[in-house]
Amino acid sequence: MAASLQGWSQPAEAFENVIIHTADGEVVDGGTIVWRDGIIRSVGPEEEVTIPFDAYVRDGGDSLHVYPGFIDGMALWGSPDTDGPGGTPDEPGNPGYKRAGIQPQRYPSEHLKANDQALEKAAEMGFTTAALGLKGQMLPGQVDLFFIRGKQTPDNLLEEGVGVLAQFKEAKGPAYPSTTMGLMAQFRQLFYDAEALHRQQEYFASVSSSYPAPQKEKELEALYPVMKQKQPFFFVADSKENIERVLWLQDELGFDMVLVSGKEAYTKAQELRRREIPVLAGIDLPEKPDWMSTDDDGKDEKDRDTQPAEVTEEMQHFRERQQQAYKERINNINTLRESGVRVGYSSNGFNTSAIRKNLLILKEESGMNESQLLNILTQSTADILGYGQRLGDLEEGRLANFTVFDNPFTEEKAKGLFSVSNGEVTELDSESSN
Amino acid sequence: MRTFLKFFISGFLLVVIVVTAGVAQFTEKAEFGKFAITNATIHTVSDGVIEHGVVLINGETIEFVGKNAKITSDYHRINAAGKHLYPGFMDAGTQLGLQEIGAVAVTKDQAELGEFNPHVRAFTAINPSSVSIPVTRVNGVTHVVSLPVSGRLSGKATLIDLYGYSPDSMAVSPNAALHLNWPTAQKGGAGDQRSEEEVEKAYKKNLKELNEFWDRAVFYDDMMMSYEEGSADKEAPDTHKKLEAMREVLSGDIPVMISVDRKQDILNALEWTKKHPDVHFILAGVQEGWRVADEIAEAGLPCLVSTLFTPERAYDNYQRPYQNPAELHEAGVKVAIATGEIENVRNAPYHAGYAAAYGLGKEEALKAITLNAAEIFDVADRLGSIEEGKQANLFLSDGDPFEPTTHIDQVFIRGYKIPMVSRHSQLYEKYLNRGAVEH
Repeated sequence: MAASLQGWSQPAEAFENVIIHTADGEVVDGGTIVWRDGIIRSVGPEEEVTIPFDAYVRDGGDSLHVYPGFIDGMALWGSPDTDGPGGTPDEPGNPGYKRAGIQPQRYPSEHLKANDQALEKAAEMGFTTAALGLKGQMLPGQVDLFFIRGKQTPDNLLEEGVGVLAQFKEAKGPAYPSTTMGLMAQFRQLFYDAEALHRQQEYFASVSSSYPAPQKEKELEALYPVMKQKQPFFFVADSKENIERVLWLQDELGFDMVLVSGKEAYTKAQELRRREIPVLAGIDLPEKPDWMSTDDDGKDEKDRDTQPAEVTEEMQHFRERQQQAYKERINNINTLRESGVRVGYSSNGFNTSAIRKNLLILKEESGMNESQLLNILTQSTADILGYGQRLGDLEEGRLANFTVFDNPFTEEKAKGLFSVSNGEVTELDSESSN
Repeated sequence: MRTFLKFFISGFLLVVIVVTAGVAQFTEKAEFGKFAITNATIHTVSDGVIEHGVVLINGETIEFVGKNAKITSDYHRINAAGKHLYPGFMDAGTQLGLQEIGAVAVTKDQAELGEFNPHVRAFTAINPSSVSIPVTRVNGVTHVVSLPVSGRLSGKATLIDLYGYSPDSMAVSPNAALHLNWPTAQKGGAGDQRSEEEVEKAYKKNLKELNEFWDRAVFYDDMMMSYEEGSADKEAPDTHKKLEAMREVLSGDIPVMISVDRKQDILNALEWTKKHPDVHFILAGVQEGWRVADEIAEAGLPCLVSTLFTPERAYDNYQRPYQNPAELHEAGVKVAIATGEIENVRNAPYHAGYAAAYGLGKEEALKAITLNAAEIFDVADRLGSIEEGKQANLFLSDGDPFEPTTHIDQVFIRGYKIPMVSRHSQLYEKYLNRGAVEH
């Protein structure tokens, strides 16, 4: 919308003559989508959709593709960078919550940097909603759900505190916890302390005198909802070992959780399914070993010359192991899905510009087709965030969140033209934003 | 004695206050009623010159124009032997009444913030007590277009008489035109450090924004018309002030005044106007109009021009600004005088004078500052010439009003015989009467 008209509670809007892709893979050619007050009112083939008299209509010329807005289940866009190491605390073994990286009371909505280029870039890539976290250490803060609208994102909060971000990240510099065992102990200690404080507060409230006022500790209070399983941990873990450690903590402390990133989650697929832990998987894929890409991609002879003339048996064995590891990682999402684990998408700091390239690799090498990828980026992530009825697909009654591309989104040349987030249209102009 | 003193002091204070306030504005009231101006050389503009003619004014209206009239005793007679009677001059583009002192921000009302403000109306901001208004009218300029100037769509210009105690009493056309500052595709002179590419990019961006806003306005108008045509199942759309303000523009009820000066910009603007056939356009400024006079004439757009500006290009002849109105006229463009001034609107006759001297000729120059301007703003049925039935805006002079040495003896606005007093005349009197030995 023209900038000068912002704030106008505008009438309906519509795209007509567009190719509509739904989250379950259905494609409607010559489709129309109508939305009003941020809600999709009607979507489908032209003949089934009536455009109301007060709709501002844009014509897609039968060549533009409309996809449900992608959702990032946990992104760090707009987060301020963390402070430096901060020197040696007076008591390195007891540095205080902030210095230790324990700040679960922080809300991204209070810290977001509106001018972060990543927020613009994300819209261009097709993201219209994202759960945003903050950069930090073991407990950097809450996870807030935002409509993604470039610089206006901070003003478009959908829900605060959909989860609490947790990760195995030691405190910076010489401060406790600085080892994995320290982290594990600190997670346990925090839960015990939170529970003790909670009990004290409840008791204090129940008596009229003769009991000292408990000290207020907002860091611990922010963990109450997790402790009571009213709010999940968004736990970042990639290696098999770290995922195991998270599961130990879950057994001991009894929290709900969503596994974030989970590069080796396939190794625990059955366990994750048993525990009904969804995974917001990253697509930060491993580099393909040189010898594999040369064979596959048919590089020219000059490149081939750099390869050893003879592959020894030992080298062959190594290559097989390398190939297996690569394929397992590439197939991570697919393995999880096939095991019955709910999988969504999370960038967790991954470079937004590289998303399309890696989606292409997944499409070509993991055996997932475009609609399966689309589903993970949309409906499946919406389900995990508890917004499965409102976000993630193009159907009547859903929030009007979608992106108009000039080509199918998995094609390298695909370019976002319009981003519609909560019904507000942003014309994407990558030239001017660069 | 005490009581007397009290009365004396308060009476004295009252007199001081009244006199101080009065000096700032009027010292006498305008007369209203029936006037018979006789023996005048009447420059009707619409119907030639009448020597020793009579004009009767009854109330706000010119009742009679001609040679012989029976003048009853209830007419206040004004013997204008040796004088010239002209229709009141119109300056078709000013900021009069919107700014008092340029250096004092609180007195400036002509520039609202924001790019698209079609809903902003100059009419609502006119200061009827502006000191510049009497200064202007006593030089024969009886009505002006006053316009907001900032942003892309600055707002609605207003056409007012230069006499009245409120904007309502001064109104001729409260919404006279929508003012559009055309986005330039040219570098802004020596201080403009941008590369050609940056200039081009900025132009495209500005034009895109204008087109987007315009598209929205067209959509809004269509939507509202569809709603107004009526149907039970149509829910009333929310009104939007800015888009609502565009409706009278899109329907052609009021014109768009496009401020544009340079050759390429004028051509771009002409191209753009062709896409909106239902809208009426006026070009304003048009400093390089003479370079593309034929194209403007072909587009059929009238031009509001001044003559006092520096040519855009250093190698242009200094006479170009003076010749611009004549060259446009010659190509077939209807021209009217618009100074773009505030306190110097009083000089509007001399802009016309320059145009007359540099090729336009007195007759056409007179039209440019009277009837043409009225026609362009669709008020020629009321203003612009001395004709029966028209509003009595006229003035008497002792010579050619395009000459600075000519005196304007009497001005009538909407039938009111205006006191020939202004801040200028008051200061003149004040310092003329200063005693030689006083400090």
